Amino acid sequence: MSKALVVLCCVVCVGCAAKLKAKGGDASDGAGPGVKSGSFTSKTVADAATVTTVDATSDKEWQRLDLDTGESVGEDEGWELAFSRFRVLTNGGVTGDRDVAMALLNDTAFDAVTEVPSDATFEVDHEDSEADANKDADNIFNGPGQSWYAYNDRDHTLKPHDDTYVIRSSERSYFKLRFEDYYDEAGTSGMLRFRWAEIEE
Amino acid sequence: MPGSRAFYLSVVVLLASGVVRHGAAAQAPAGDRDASAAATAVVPPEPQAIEVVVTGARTEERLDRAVSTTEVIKRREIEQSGARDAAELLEERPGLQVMRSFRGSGIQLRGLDPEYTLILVDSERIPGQVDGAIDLSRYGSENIERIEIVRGPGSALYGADAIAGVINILTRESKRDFEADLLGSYGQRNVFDLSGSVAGRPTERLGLRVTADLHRADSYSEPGETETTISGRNQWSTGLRVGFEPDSRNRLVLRAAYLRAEWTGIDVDAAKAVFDRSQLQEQPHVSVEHRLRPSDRVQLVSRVSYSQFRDQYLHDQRGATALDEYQDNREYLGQLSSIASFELADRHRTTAGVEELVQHLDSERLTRSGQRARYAAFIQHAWLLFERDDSELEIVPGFRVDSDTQFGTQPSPKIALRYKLLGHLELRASYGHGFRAPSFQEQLLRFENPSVGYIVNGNPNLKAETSRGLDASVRWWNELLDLNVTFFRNDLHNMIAYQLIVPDDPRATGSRYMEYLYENVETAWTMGVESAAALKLRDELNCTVSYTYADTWDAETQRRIGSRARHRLTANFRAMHPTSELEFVARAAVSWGRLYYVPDMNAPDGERAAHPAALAQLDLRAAKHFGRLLELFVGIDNLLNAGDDYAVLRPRTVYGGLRGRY
Repeated sequence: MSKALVVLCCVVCVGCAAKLKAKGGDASDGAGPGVKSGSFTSKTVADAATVTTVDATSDKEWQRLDLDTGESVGEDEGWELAFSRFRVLTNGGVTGDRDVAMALLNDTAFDAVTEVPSDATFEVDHEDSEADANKDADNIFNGPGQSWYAYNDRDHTLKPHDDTYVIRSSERSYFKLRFEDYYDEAGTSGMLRFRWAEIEE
Repeated sequence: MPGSRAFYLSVVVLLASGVVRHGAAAQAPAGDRDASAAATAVVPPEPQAIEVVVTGARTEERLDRAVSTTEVIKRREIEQSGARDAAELLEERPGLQVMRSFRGSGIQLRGLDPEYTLILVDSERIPGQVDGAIDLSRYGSENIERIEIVRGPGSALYGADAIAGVINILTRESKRDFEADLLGSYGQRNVFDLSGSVAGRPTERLGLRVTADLHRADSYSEPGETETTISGRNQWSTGLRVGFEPDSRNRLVLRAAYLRAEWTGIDVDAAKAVFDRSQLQEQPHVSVEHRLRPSDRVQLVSRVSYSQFRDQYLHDQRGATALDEYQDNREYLGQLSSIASFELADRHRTTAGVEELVQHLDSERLTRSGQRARYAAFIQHAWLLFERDDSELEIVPGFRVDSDTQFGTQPSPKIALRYKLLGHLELRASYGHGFRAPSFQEQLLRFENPSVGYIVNGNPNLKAETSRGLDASVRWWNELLDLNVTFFRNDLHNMIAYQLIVPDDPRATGSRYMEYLYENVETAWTMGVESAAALKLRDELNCTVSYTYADTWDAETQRRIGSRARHRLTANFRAMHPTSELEFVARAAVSWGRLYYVPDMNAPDGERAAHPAALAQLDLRAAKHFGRLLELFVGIDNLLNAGDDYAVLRPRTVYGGLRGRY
């Protein structure tokens, strides 16, 4: 009887199906055509503006962009913005030493900004407050009570606010920037798309 | 696997003891055979015979004397219903609500979710809980002899998870020298079923049954929508059952089965990402049961079984690979039990047993493999205090203790009373403790949602959820009518829910995200009334109507528990015209007082209550019989096209087919 049991156990153990394999996807980076630099894909659009998509799907690695050159750069270089998922840091204040700063222009259209508004209030990254859930430095992109996106807790999606930001770069140039989407065409989250252009001081 | 060595050692000991018992019993006089066969008969040969059930006492007992009210869905009723699987069979039964998701169908009983009802197949646990539920659509109705439903706390006999009740699916065995049946059915949207079995008794001592079945159905999506609301299904299974009675006192039953089910669908998420979803489940199972009956008053049943459940899940993003997700979950379950039932004196029946369970789960979603071993011993004593012509009083105390390598020791006492008076009136009451073991997911999960920044962590230190359940019922019957009303209440403590923890909590993992942790925090109760009325005008005409009221309360959130209905009405009607052999069956269920909580950004706590309209389901089936050999049938499932966002049902489906028997 015990022999029969062992044989039966062997029979049922080997009856396993093949591994399910994906076939609907491809290896596309989801950013579409454009000039690639590291995880950033940029294309020039009307009015000398640039639309950049960053693959910020990793929640462990930060992707850093130098607005002055439009290139992906390393941690020790003159980057302005760093991206990981929905989190955005700047190279100033408690985060970096290049004195990068940014100002929020509430409900302001991107095209309406041609120079740095006289009443723009520039801020740098500051210490994390316990008032928010994350443990990253706070700034006007991600901080208590303010963020670049609206979180829909019904379907757990992020949608950019209708705001434009002004960024003072490490080279003391000024750029306007507006977030357009957190998802690429295939619906992948962490594929942050933003429009940006240099403006007069 | 912890305990696995002990388990295999126990298997060897059990098998060895079986051989010894077999040898000893071979010397027994053959004169006991008839009495033994009658007592061990699982299903009576004629409808008029005394009906025997096995679930309420973990041994055979007369249905009319069972202390736990047992509802039996018999083979004939299964065939008449047109149900394709156990989920459809239970859909319109009193007090039961089938909860369907893309990953299967579970049972809601007495206001409690599927994980609070123990599902057994041939009196044994089965692996493969997905989101807490055993998918009942895995079990094709053509291989089911009967289903026994025992409501109320069952932990004193069965241990974990038997809080709301126990549902035991008993598979068919061979009763005649040769029998064969074949069923083919086809319906709208390619709902296709083909099943057959061959059974027989080549010798007086040997019974065999071989079964095979195939079930297919297309997926379904609303017109104009990409996303499917009902998954496509492609399932086949095969089974073997061998019964061997070397002599009048011994009986061996070997069961082996393999099931393969594939579910497919299309999902669209809120960010418009489109996914092809596939799920492939496999379940091999083998068990050996030895039944020894040294005398009319003693029986010992020993079982050993081994099952696997493999669940592959693939979420294949269209146009990209970034969100592709693949899981390969494998569960291994070994069980060993020995149950003795004996009558030491007139009016005293005792059932006692020991059990061992070894479970192992490999899953990418867990921080490590889940492993547990559980040892248990139980005893139940039924004492018939007095028995007169038209009255009986029986008291049944029971006690079980479980020792689990993960949640520790859990005692489960129970006491039950049955008082029959005036010949046609019966009062029953019971009070028992129950518990639900924390799942591997609740203990070991690590789920990250980086896109919105939170983590849910399992908690290895979880204790079992506990319950205290009270039942009281009145039954009155005569030749025409059978009425039953039951009051029930369950108080649940230490219920497991995930809680936000502060970063300073020593259990926090230091993640930059919000962290949630499963904890024993909630208390809740469910309470209600089950009532049923069965009218049997003749064999050819009968009708059952039931109404269930089930209220719930979550003490943590101070509100009713969502995703369920307060009221449920069911009706089953059958009429058979004897001369034309035309048969008509209608099954209906109406749920109202439905409550669901849906996320709402504008609500103070992020949720609002939704009260969808009543849900009315109706299935019709008509059959023309040609003697016993052939049956042609047509039917309509979900005639009223019921279903909404909260209860997803397959739309109206017209089907037809034939059944042949030999």
